[in-house]
Amino acid sequence: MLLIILFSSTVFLFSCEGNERSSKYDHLDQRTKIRLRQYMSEGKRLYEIYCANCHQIDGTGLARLYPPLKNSDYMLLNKREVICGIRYGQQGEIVVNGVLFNQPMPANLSITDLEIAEIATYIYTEFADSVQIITINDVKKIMESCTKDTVLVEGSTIIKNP
Amino acid sequence: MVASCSGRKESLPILGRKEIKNVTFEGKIQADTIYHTIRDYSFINQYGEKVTPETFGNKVYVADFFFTTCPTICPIMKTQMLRVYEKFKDNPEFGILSHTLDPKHDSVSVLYNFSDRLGVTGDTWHFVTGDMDEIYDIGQNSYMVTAREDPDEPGGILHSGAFLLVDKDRRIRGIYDGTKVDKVDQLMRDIEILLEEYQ
Repeated sequence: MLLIILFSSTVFLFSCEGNERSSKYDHLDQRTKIRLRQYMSEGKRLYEIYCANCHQIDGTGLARLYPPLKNSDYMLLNKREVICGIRYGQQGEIVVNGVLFNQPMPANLSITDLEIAEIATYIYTEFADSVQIITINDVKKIMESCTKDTVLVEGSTIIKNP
Repeated sequence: MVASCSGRKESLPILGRKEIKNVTFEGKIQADTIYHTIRDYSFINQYGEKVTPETFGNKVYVADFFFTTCPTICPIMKTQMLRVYEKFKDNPEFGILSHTLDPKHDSVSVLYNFSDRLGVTGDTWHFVTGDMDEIYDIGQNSYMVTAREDPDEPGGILHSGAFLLVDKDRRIRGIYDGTKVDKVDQLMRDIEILLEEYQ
């Protein structure tokens, strides 16, 4: 009896979660929804390891030092640069929502295409309200087009193309 | 019982190695406790001004060690220190002293740009640069924090994320993990307790 109650409450909890999320994801078919959720949960975990130190857990950035990802016009307009930047870093001035930023973002050459796909899916879906799976194939194509201006920050020097 | 507890003023410990020294006071030899204190220093802040212990003469202050291009813990430390700054910036008896561990890169103008972008103005929060050996020495020996160059570390420098609370007599009264929200909450409560000591 107890088992049945536990089981039915579990089903109930799952269905609640499904309903709550359906607003954001409801234009997607069931398979895509499941896949998107996998990307989102892994993407969130990786985002918190590699990105949140500067861009903050909630994606709001830090003052005029580290740009926000949340509701960022730059992210929508510069998807290629954003995705290349996750691996190769970025340097120089950029304008995000009308504010000028100029702090080098370090490269992370050991990050895999899949990890980039998961992070990109997470940041675009969570912060840019652009619900979409950015697949490994998307990432592979974009990576071929990157300028590969690798930015490594090593103590006193910022090294481009090491 | 309850009344006596709440009536008692909280006080913070004095940290570091103590020495007991015999001193002559009014003709008699007495034992005196010498506390660990921050040694003399001279650095340059983000405005190009000299910063010495006199700058913090009538202030309790929080010290830390960072560098502007640090990709690991510094952004979290600065996010947290900004909370401390926002809370106490208008108190003339309070200051912050952030030492760069990368003085070769972090010149006065780099530090000015960094502090300005953080939204820091006025003379509450000093971002200082100076002689590299002096910065590492004061870190290790006065503030008792780890800092060394390490090529295996992202950014090339391994260092502690500690915030140190220092009183007006240059004594360390608390050490806090500057990357943890709850530890920084504790620091902010302790700053109030310490300021209260001087009222």
